[in-house]
Amino acid sequence: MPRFEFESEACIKCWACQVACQIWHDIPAGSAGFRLVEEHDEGTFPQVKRTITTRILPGCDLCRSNGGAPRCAQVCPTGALRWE
Amino acid sequence: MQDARQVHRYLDYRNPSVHTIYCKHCETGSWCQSCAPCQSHCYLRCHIENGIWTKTEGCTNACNNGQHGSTSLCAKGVAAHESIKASGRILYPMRRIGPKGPGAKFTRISWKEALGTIASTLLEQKRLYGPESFGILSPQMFPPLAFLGRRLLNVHGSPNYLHSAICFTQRKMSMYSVLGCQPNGMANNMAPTQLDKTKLLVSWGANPENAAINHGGVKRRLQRQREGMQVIDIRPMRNALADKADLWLPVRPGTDLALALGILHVIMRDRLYDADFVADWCHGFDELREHAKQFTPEWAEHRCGIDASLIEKTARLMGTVKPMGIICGNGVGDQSRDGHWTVVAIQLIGALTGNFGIPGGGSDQVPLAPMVAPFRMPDTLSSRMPASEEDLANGWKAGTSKLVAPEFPQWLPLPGRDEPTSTYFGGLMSVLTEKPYPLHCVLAQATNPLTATRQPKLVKKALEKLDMFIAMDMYWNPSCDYADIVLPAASQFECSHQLGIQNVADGTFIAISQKLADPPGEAMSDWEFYIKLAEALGYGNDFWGGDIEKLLEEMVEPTGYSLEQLRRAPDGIFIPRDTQHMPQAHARDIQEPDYARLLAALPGGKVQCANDFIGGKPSVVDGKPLPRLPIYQGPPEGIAETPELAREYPLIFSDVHAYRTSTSSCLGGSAHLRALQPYPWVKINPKTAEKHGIAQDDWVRVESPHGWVVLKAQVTECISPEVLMAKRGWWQSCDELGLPGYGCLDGGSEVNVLYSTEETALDRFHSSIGKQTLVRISKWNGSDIDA
Repeated sequence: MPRFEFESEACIKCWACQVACQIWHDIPAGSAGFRLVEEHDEGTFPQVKRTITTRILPGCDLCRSNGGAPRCAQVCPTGALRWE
Repeated sequence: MQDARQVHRYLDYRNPSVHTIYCKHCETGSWCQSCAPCQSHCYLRCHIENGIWTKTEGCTNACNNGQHGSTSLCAKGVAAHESIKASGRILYPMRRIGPKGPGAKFTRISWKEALGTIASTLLEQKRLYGPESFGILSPQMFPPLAFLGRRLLNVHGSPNYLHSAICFTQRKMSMYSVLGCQPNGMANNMAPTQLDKTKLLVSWGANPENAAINHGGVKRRLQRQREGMQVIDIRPMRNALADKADLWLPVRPGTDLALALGILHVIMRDRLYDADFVADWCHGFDELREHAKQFTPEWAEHRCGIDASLIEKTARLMGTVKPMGIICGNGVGDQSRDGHWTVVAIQLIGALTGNFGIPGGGSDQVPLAPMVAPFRMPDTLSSRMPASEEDLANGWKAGTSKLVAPEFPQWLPLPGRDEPTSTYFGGLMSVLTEKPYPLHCVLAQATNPLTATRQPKLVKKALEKLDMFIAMDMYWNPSCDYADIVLPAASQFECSHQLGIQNVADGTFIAISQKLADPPGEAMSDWEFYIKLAEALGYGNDFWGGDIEKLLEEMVEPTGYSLEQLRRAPDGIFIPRDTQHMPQAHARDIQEPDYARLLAALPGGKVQCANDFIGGKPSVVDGKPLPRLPIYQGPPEGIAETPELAREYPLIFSDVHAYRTSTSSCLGGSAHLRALQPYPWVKINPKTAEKHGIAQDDWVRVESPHGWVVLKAQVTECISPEVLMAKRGWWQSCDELGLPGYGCLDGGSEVNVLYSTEETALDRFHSSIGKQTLVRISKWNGSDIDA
């Protein structure tokens, strides 16, 4: 059964997934879609570690009407977010 | 008199009657150019619903992200349909009536009148002042300008292609001066192509998570890191890829040369160089080694802010891990007054350690994979540029002697088919200084001179004085208020004129942009504009009789496909490579170095450790001799460089060139992108913020010795307490989100007001104007933000 796989180490916070979710669900700019990119930083300069994560919000329907992978996973340029 | 701009400012793109093409629901395609208009990179599959383009995805027939069948895109590609829909589209040609400046009044004119006025003015100015009195601004390179704009200049007789002087060509000339170039003009450099063999990748001043995200490079780098390739990332902010590197060096902006020289010192001191390569293929090594003795890691630390121990560690890695490749970015090479010597020093680190010309190192591929179906870019007709006696006597390319503000030294043999260029800023300043002569007409196509170059306050003065300023753009930008004629530009999505090609190992993809929407009003494509202007000038015979279709047919002819066939292929055409019948089709990766071939263009056919290619020859900026060995200057205002000034302006300021939600200063009106970064931001360390009583999202007054801006604080540990970083180009409003555009002068948010443009602030070899200065900050509570 395919599901979302996310590899934080490959995410560059490009926001393509977040924007694709909004646009493909006709959600206006400024309103949250169903995919959110977040970041948590630890440490003090220069010993800093950034952790970029993403999560789906209630209402995500995995773009079922599409038939293939959800739009957010389709669009990821680094392969950090996958549907497999 | 009615202001034509105001009447037509708000076009309702949701009105289906505006669009008459295609079926109710269908998919078609077009080229995105959202990261770099210099070529068409990703092909889009565009969804049309009820006649409106509403959604965009990657076209799987194309070779986006370096792979046939890829579905990926960056955020700008996903939101590409918004790029044509923001308010403020210019709809009709307009002529200014009354004075220049904010609030200037314009009246609508016909294209015939607009082109007729421009042509008659140009011809009169040619008669009075010479053809060189006409210049075309070249911001980020894009094909209509590079090919047709250049062709127009050549036929008219002007060499004044006014290149930005802050982008790629600067690095190219520096690389060429130390490592040479190929007959096709490509400069040799340390960036690896056979990344599968690279064991250490040094990313220096590059920004790959913000530009060319979907071109395959980022994906490959991350994959190679999983497989064990080490990465050293050198830049001021801890961007996402820097965070994933093995080492991050947060170098002070503008001081990369100090770091590079410190590394070179260690390599020389500890004999980490390839002695055989040095003996056989290097000129002036002993001089450089002696010269480098002064650049100890401690010397470098004082200037670049990186601990001496980390410099030692970095040098040891670069000197011992092999193969090593080095990517050298815009921030260090193109936008710093030490840009040239920084790039040279970086290339020397790579070459002297034996990493040049080897698989996985620099210049490690001979590109022998031909396009299966190449198309033909228009000839720029450089042979039509008249050569002066000075050109001929000196062996210069025709037009060199007439440049109003030469970008590169006139004595420098330009590589390949490169043609003479003046600088964007220098060309505009000639209007003020009238030296060596003033430009009388400037065309700004797809560029806002009040953001695209340095010191908008001086640019404004130049535009006020300029006899004829023509602005052609999609959206009304602040420089349009100073134009004599404003022309409406159609995007590549609103015409079917933009050809593009992608070439990968298993084939070639070709496509033409399909017309996804009618151009608003009378907007014209940038390609067609040049052809029509040339016709009005009487140059029609050299410009396909004014017929854009004839040009396009000529361009597609070598592909074996007709224009009609390309237009009937909304997904483009992918032609698999037939390796059985094309045995040489694959790129021939270098297995063994061929230094004789690589270095043939250099004096003695050797790497210029002490540079006798350019050393001793006059600087294009001040006419004084260029050194043969690297001399460190640092930024015009810097903590170590101007300590007295640093007492008053204690923080280093710089800005990012490319960003993942904008293309230069464009796309500020694309709502889904603007929502991600709605306000002009400045990254600031928490210690610095606290010291100045600044909290997250506070507006901050940022002042340098040259100007001041207002920016919104983004507090982060990913930047040094000594440094602030921002982004330029916030002039465009986003009415959909109720967000303004911000001003380009003092009190606005255009960071380019902060930098020095004195002659001493320019790179003496390639004219770049740096983007580093010192500032002081305070919390801004005023209401008079220039927005």
